[in-house]
Amino acid sequence: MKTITQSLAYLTLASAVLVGCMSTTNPATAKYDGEKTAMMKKEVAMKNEAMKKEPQLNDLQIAHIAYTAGAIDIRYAHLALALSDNPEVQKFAELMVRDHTAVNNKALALVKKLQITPEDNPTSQQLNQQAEQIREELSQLRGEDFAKRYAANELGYHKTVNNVVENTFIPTAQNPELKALLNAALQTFKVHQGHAAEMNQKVMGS
Amino acid sequence: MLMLRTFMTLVLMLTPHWEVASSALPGAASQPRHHVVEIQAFQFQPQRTVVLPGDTIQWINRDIVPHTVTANGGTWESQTLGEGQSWEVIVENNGVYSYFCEFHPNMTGVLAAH
Repeated sequence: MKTITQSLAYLTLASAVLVGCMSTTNPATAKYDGEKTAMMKKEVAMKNEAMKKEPQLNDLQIAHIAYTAGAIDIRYAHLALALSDNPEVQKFAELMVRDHTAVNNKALALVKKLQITPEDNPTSQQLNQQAEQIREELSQLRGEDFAKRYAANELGYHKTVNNVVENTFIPTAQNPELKALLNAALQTFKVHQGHAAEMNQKVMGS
Repeated sequence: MLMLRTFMTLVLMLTPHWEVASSALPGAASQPRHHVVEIQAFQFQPQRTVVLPGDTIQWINRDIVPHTVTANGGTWESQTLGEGQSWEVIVENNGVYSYFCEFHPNMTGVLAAH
């Protein structure tokens, strides 16, 4: 997730810096503005350099990351179904398995239709590594501790993924069918985020 | 993806206890109508459907995730509706029926038969 958020941060920072560079110059503060502009130029150069090292994702990579993110949540859910008897956790986990399986099946169908192969990439790999750590952590917990950790993780995970899908994947995706699927998926994931928030309230209050 | 469309018709005797049930209107002048409620963007559209006894109401899932059409109180319930799948009910009696999606309970709708 770090790589995804870094990409997003670079885009956001670059935009902010560019907007800053477009502001009008006041003669009374020309010297200050001159220094500020120089700093901004330096910052832009640094960000551009960073973006060169962090190339923009292509459609095949976006498809791979999105599928990976869904598969990870399905695995969290299976763990929850196996380890928790909290009804809120059970209900949410069943929803995650059902909905993410449907979305991922839709993605597989699109991949087949377009005759493309999603491209593994450092972001997908990092997502899987971090998910493995979280699964390991969750698998040590039981009862209320598990329910609270699972609920918190689901809310945070959906917030992060939704942010990236909305602000990076959808604007970046080139293929219209992939873009449409990402939009439909985002709609689903936002509903999940709402359910996750409700689950947190109920679990934390228990 | 192959879009499966299953059409199941369920004739239900809907007699909620809070309403005085009346029989269907076999001699009614108007022909029974067919109403379509689309399940789209996690909403039942239209959210409220007004029908006459004898009318058919069909729900079609346009979302990419499964939904259900489940009456409050469990009077009736569809099977799981995947993308493109539909389910039908023929209402025979007057009544106001609230329903929701069992998987996404924030999705609600109303069927008013009178």
